[in-house]
Amino acid sequence: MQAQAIKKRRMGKEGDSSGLKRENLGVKIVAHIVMIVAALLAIFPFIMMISSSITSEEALARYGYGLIPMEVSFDAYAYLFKAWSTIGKAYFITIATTLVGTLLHMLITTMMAFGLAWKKTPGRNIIMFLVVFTMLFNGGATATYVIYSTVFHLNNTFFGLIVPGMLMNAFGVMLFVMYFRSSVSGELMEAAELDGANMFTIYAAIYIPLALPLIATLSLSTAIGFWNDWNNSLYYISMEHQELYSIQRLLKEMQDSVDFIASNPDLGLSTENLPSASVQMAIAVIGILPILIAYPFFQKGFVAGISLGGVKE
Amino acid sequence: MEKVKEGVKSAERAERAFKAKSRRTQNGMTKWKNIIIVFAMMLPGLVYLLINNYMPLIGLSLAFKEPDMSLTNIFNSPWCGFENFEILFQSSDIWLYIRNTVLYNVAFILINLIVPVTMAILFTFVRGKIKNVYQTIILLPYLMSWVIVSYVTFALFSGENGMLNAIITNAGGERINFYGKDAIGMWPFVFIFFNTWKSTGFNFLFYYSSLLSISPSLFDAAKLDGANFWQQVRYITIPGLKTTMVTMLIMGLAGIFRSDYGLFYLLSQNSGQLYEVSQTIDTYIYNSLKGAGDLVTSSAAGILQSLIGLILVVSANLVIKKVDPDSSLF
Repeated sequence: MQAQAIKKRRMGKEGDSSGLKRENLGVKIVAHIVMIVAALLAIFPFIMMISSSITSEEALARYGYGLIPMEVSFDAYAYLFKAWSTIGKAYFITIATTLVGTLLHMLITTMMAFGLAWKKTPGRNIIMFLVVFTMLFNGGATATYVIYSTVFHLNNTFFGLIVPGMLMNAFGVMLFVMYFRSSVSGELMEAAELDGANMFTIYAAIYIPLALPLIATLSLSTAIGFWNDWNNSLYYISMEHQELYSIQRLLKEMQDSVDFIASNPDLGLSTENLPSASVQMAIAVIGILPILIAYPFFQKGFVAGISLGGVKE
Repeated sequence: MEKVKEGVKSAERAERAFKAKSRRTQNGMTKWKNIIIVFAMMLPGLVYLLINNYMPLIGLSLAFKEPDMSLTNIFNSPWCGFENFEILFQSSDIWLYIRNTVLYNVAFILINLIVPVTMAILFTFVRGKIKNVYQTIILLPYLMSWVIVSYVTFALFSGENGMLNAIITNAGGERINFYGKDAIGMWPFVFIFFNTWKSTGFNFLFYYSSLLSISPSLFDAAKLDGANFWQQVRYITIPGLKTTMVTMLIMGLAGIFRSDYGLFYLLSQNSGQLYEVSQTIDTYIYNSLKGAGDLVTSSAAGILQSLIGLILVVSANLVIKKVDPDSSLF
């Protein structure tokens, strides 16, 4: 009796679902069109950049930047190769800030979250409030700058690049607190405590291994943040300390003025016969190249990280 | 015999009590040891919270101090009440910058709700390997810094080699100075477009993942009942995304007096002729900090940003709590 009813309903569903199906096909086509347009818009600048960087200066002057190189020339890269001492140094600074910064960020964030996740930490709620409050209210750029430069003297130091604003944020801490609470059971915790394991051992041997997926995804976005940061450099590194310039800062300065190139005999570029148009694009390509190469490998983890934020909300 | 038994019993009892006591003290000791260890582990985070987030709040006091150009003894300069705020608001341009900041943020909040949510809903209809290709490519701009994006816009708008000017001159037209006064009307759209361009990949995946957490059985049931696409979107998808959308809205409101100054500062090449549409409170703060070294009025502007943001968040949350308690943030 029941089976028949179900069968009837199924038949009914199929019966009037042809209209639905046709509608779904329409939506499907629209979906693909929207995605294709979005993908083209997303990738178009990269093609333009790469193609412009391998176009000869004369062709650029005649046809302007474009999607297809009119006359292929690798002059720009040859120039950059000559200027490697400056660019290499900037690369080194960028890589160093990314590695040190990401490591410190993850260490500080996970240890903080561990303390907040442990039920016996005295004053847990107060500390949690202090963390969350930073999302809602802060001193702003000027006050932060004044504190870091007058009290801590971070101007023109390596730490000026990694410390201000980048070593911990409330969102990351909250994410780990939730993750720790949901992935480590209270009993496991109590058993470990009764065994006399100290808290650091518990953190290192139980919590960290369990949180590896989250650590991986958050490290990725943190690392990209450090790689792309030019803000701290602009605030804390002055023109006289170009040895601390990161790739992003170098890019900004090069765009700002040909003066920068002129004041930098190190670059081996003279301003007169400088293929500036293609060189600029070539430097930009060099700036994004590491991310473009690594992207296919970390793409999955990165998307997983975003999804984590979406689901946890 | 009885006495012996009793004696044994009491001895046992005493022993048990002693053991329990020692276990307790031992536990107490390990507990304290652990608390000390945990605080030692939290120390870097707590210290960072202090220097990065709470000491600048003391720095806000600058806004009420007399201007002093030397950075060394800035905290020693005398108080001057609300004078700096008066100076700030007497500069007629600040209202323009406030207007710019708020209007851009309103546009960003709306577009960053509509575009990504629409894309996320459509994305559920895409199947197969192509799905991965789409999301990989669309996320790409999110990984770029504003410096790189400014190279892109420069390649588009540059007076000498810019792509648009090349197209215009090839068609027989006159070169346009896109970074000058004549093209000022174009820039709001440029800012809005590139902000969307850079953030959509992230936002749409964010909404898509929270869409996936809506139970599929809801959609099946709706289909059984003959609900069409629009009805499904209206009665299942949107309600399912509501909490996420409200959270994003509140966060957007919190930042309504703030702006991504990379976007406005770098894309416009900080061109003075575009200030009317490109200058926001943050670029104003940066420019006055770096240019004139004017710490006090810029921290006065900073206080305004923070206070108004806080007031907006708390009141938006209050309203939402009244209307729909489940969606409120706190």
